[in-house]
Amino acid sequence: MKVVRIFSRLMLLLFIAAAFVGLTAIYGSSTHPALPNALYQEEQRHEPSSPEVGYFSQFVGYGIMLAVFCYAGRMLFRLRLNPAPHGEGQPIVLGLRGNNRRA
Amino acid sequence: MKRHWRLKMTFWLDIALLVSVCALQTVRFTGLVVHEWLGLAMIAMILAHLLFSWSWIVTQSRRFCAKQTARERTNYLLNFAFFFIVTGAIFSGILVSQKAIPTLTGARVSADEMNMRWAMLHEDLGATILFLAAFHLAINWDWLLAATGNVFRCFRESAL
Repeated sequence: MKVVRIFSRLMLLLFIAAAFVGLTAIYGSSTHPALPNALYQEEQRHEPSSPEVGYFSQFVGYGIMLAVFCYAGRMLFRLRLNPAPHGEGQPIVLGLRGNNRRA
Repeated sequence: MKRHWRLKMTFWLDIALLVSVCALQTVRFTGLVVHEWLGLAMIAMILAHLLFSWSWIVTQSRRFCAKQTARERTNYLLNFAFFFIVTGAIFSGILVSQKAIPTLTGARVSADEMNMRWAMLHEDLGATILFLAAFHLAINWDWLLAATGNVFRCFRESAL
């Protein structure tokens, strides 16, 4: 029963993914962007097959970029999306009257 | 016990996805072979990630047209766009594949036959994924902190 449930969910996800693939295919075949220069095209076509450890800094750089955008997003979402506290816009009750009565 | 196992799986899967997203940005570091196979492995990782988050997807999809907070709505739309962009990136990656797909299908593809239009689209979608991943992480930051605390507390408890 559990396998059937997981399988049906998987099928639904793949169905949605197939719809997205269709949309991407339509977009990809309808746009005609200007091709980049020959040198760039040559680089794209002949990327190295094996890993090059010398480019580890590039990987770290992307990690830092992700962290920076995550921090920026965190600030943005905290400022924009968190609901205002319940007391905002309400007068602050100091409770002085009650204190006087007690005194 | 089952909940802890599920949390651990989700946590390490998310960490693997995060590292993979960064690694996939730099083809020169990973090399084309690892880049393409890792990209294909992302399909399984993303599907597993979505299956683990199924109850959230169902709840938020039902509530989308009804009352929903701005945070929930933004999170839902962000995740929807993220799924769309990732699907597009994987699809365009498959179309320009020079190593993994020819190995799987047995077709011979020379690098000169590569469709530059799809290669450019793949690169643009890949760059967009980095930003969307960052925002996805930002909006789920509290969950990540709580999960990190839980997972490492489990480690400490089992070590004692």
